[in-house]
Amino acid sequence: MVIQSLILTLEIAIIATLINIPLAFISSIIVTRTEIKSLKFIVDVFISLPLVLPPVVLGYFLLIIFSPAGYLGQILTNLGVEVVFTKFAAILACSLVSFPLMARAIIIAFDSVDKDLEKIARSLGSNKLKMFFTITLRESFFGVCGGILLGFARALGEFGATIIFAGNIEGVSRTIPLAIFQSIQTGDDKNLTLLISCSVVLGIISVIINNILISKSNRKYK
Amino acid sequence: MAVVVLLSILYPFLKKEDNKILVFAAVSLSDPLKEIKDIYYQDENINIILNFGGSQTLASQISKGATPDIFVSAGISPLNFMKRKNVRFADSYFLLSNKLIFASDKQIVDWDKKGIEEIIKSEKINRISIADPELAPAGEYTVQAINNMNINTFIEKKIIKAKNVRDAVNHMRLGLSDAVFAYNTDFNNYKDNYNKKFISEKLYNKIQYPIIIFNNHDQVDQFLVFLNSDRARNIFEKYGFSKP
Repeated sequence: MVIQSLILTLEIAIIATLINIPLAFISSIIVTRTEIKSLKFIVDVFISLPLVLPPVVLGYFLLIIFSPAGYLGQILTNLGVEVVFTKFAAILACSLVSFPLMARAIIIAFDSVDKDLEKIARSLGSNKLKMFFTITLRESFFGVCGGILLGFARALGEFGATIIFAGNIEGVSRTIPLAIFQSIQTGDDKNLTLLISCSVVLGIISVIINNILISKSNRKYK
Repeated sequence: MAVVVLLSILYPFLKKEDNKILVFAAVSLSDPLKEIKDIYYQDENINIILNFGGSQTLASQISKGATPDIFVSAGISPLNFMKRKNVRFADSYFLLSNKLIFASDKQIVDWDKKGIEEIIKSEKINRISIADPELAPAGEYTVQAINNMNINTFIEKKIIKAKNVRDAVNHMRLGLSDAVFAYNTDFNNYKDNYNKKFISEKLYNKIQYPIIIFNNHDQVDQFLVFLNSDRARNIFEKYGFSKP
């Protein structure tokens, strides 16, 4: 049970993070590079919203949208697709909840890149895409990695939205936090200790790597 | 947009599986239902997907559009809640029943001979955990029993309320209280030293677990027959549940 939920947790968190990376890049570029103030404001609000809403509320939103009676759910049901209470639902919940942490960290990293370097690259004939990879991303590399890791770490600990939208189903959505909940509720002390240890070890590793990345990026900017 | 793209990529993985039954159940039923699931998969090759949660949480998920085939609730109030919310279901009846017990981990001389009243009056029992009657059905049954035993006057000062019955049991195990009113089945996994006493069933309403059936197709019917068979009953009884 412990090994299964550990693997499931990593699987869900990794996929959720991979989905978030391109979306976080796009929204961070919009926020840091757009001249249109209203667009920047709207994107910024949408990025931050999942951070301030309780995850349970996010779970309910997802449930209402994707349930067979919901707006999107009706269409999907007709196509023979099922989302609610599947592994995909768990991934979606993790993505949504961890997105703001990743995006906000990447915004800060992009903001710290010297804009003059970008202008020089453009004036030397580089297109926007090339400029992004050779200047913006290279200059902000450690900060971006830190942001991705922060999002990943948040996805590891996701509970509220997952239990509402994906349920607490063994092998499907019972990640470590849900398995801990299950063990407390059923009084399964042996697994509880193991699960909590897993959770703490994963947390410590993430924080250590994150701190290393942050210190590297700080050194770079000084 | 991103969601649509993602869904189209993942379409083959998301296609609805046919050989499965989605069951929502109260967490207290985890152990017996998991055993039943394994047996049923071996015999019939049908995958029972079990989703556990608090009965009231599950009921509100259903009212918000979750679509299980079957829901086993601990107590009748989640069922009444769904009726109030006009949730449509095919059938419902009582599947199991449970019993209320009084338990303590304190060493009390002559536990077996003493009555509950006498034990509660003992100076070793200073605090008693119960589930909050406003939040959990277990609390309602406990309060009924306490009122019918006519012990509320001296028990009142000793009571601490927990948000559900499992937390009440955890209170005692963590040393926050000396005794607890809980379900018989709450102690299945605990090997610690504790004494328990069954509370006379005349003192509280029958604790019944309704099963609610949403989808009446053949596969579900077949599983319901199995749930009511002697083989499944024996598993439920092993974990302390009785016939309704």
